[in-house]
Amino acid sequence: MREKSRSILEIKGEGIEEVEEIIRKIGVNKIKRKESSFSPENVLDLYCPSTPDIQHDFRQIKWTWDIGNSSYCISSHRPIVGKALVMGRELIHGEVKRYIDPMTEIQRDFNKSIAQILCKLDARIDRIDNEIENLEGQASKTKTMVDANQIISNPSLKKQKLHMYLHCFSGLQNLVDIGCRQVDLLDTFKEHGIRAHGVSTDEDSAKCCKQRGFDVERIDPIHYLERTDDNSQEGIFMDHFVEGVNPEYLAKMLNLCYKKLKHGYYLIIETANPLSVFHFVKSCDDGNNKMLMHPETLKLLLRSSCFREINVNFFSPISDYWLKSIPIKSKFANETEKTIVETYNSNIDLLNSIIFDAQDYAVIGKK
Amino acid sequence: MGLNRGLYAIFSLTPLKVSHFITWQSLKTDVTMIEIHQMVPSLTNGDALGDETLEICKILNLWGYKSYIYTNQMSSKCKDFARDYREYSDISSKDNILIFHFSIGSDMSEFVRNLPDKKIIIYHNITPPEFFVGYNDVFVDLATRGRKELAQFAGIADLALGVSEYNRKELESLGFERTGVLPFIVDLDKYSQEPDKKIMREFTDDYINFLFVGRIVPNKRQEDVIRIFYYFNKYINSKSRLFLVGTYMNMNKYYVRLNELIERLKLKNVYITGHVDFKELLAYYRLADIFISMSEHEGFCVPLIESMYFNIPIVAYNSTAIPIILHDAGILVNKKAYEDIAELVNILICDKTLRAKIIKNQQSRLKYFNKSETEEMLKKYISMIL
Repeated sequence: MREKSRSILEIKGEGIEEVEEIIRKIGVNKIKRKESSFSPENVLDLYCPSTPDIQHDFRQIKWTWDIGNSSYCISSHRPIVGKALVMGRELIHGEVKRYIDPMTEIQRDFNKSIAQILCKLDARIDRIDNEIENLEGQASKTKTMVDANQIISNPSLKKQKLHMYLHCFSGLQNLVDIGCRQVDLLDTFKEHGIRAHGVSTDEDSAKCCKQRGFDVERIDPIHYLERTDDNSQEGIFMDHFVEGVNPEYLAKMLNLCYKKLKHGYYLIIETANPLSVFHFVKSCDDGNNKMLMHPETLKLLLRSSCFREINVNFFSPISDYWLKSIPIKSKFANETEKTIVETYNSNIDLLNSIIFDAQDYAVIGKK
Repeated sequence: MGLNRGLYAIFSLTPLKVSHFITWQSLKTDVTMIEIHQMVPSLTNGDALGDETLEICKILNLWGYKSYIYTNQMSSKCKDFARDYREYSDISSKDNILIFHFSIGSDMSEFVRNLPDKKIIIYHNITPPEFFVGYNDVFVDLATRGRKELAQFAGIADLALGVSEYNRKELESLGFERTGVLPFIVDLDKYSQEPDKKIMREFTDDYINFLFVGRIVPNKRQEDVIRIFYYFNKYINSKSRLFLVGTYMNMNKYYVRLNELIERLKLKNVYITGHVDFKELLAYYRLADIFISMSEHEGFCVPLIESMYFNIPIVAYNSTAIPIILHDAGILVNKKAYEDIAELVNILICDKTLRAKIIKNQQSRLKYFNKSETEEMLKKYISMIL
């Protein structure tokens, strides 16, 4: 009997019929382990030894460029024949040196030049890296200030999300707000008795929240979560945070969230919606954004981190810019006019939904 | 590896059996007149290629042929059985058969090409050079050179044999006209020896022992075995250990990186043994509960045969010659999903019925590699070019 599954494993041969059952068991056992608070790090990310370390090679060149051997010494411990032996060996050594030394010298000079060039390049790369870092810092600072101001000045826009968030976070005394981009939301949480602790790497966001009297810590969220106990958090809210991180970081972050959340509590991720063409183009201008994530991708990531009851909610449609439809008259002059108007309006609706779709969306997952 | 499998092969030479000799004599009356020699770039007792060369030499002598091994490098224990390859020009003849074991580029290739002897190439496969990039530049050069040199034998070799169908196909694609498969000739009887007592004493307990046997080289992907073990040890059963048995000579960089990985994962129970003697090798096989190969390039993989012999369930990554060697035996994984493989190992450890079925299939497969079967194949191939 042969069973085959290209996806994971193949077991052939007589008497083996339970391949599908084994694959199922593997899946079940993995989920069980995750549910019982085991949350293995992504082993792939831990370290990839097959990638040679360029710094190691560089150090090797810096340390070993000089191939000269000045420590060679001809001597003999024999008291009588020693002198003759030394003379003989020196003679041979001298003859060999005539051929070898010029080659060694050329190789040594070559090695030295290469090492010097690499050292200079290395120093230059360091300088360029520093400059890039400074420029990125400046750009990010400017952008964050602009965004924070916008958020504070538009509280009404954010409040419409409130009923959704209150459903998940109502009465919580231990909510973590990662990102702290919407101070007005923190305000509203406070009004509703929700005690939130802000975590942000951004100096200006943290400063702004502190000025408004919120408990905010300036720390990398992964470091923050790592130091908390497993199953200790009552809620986690990622506030326009995922668009600023890379996928590896996000995957690690989601696994940590799952590990740290109490069973039955929620993770909410609010982020910019790339399905809105207008908003997508606007977001491209934001230097902080590393990636805009499709709602389905984010859902999938939550699912793979073992969250359940995953929902997506869209909000803040850009209705101010909507293209206008033609008002429907009670009576059309003829069928052709009616068809033209209906087709036009249907196209306008379609365009509005594509171009001016909701600016943001939130994915909600339960542990 | 081990107490010199090759030496054992030579020392255990049994007296020439008359019945055997007569059978072969009936096929070839002038058998003793023909010389069949072997040439191999490096003869090291304990490695698969060295052992096979010594085994074939033993068999050819048994059949009544004059047969020596010619090589460029030999380990000290092989000095009595091998000669420098340059000496071969003294006895070279168009009537001789020369078996050239091909596994890496060397000056020997050109030497062999220019000899008038009838030539049989036994192709053990060449590891693609890209695996060695960043670890050993000499190996990158030798592997690159080896592939070029092999192609140059296409119109010259009288017969080209791959140690597996995978290798044979590669020969065919290079333009070799007469090709065949001659699996490694493994003398399974030698595995019945007593294993090393010290290792057996040290590790005989209720721990689950993972095993991989093979040189520490990047194509064998020992880091993937470590990752699987990490998951198993940390999340499934902490009473487990991993033995990575094999030499790391000439692969110091890779060895260092594996150790860095082990350190970073904070793993306590991983043992990279380095070169072991034969009795020690036997001990590791006797202790093993599971054999895991994540190798991405194998021309044959003798440890699979050894694991079949020791009734150790095999879980191997589906690559190159591995599925051909396993055929219907063991478990092939198509994807390096470390967590899944660790869970699979756990199932294999816990489910005695499944384990028994896997072992039974492995035992059936082992029959294909029976020494008498492979000897018959060798006999057939030699008769083809006589």
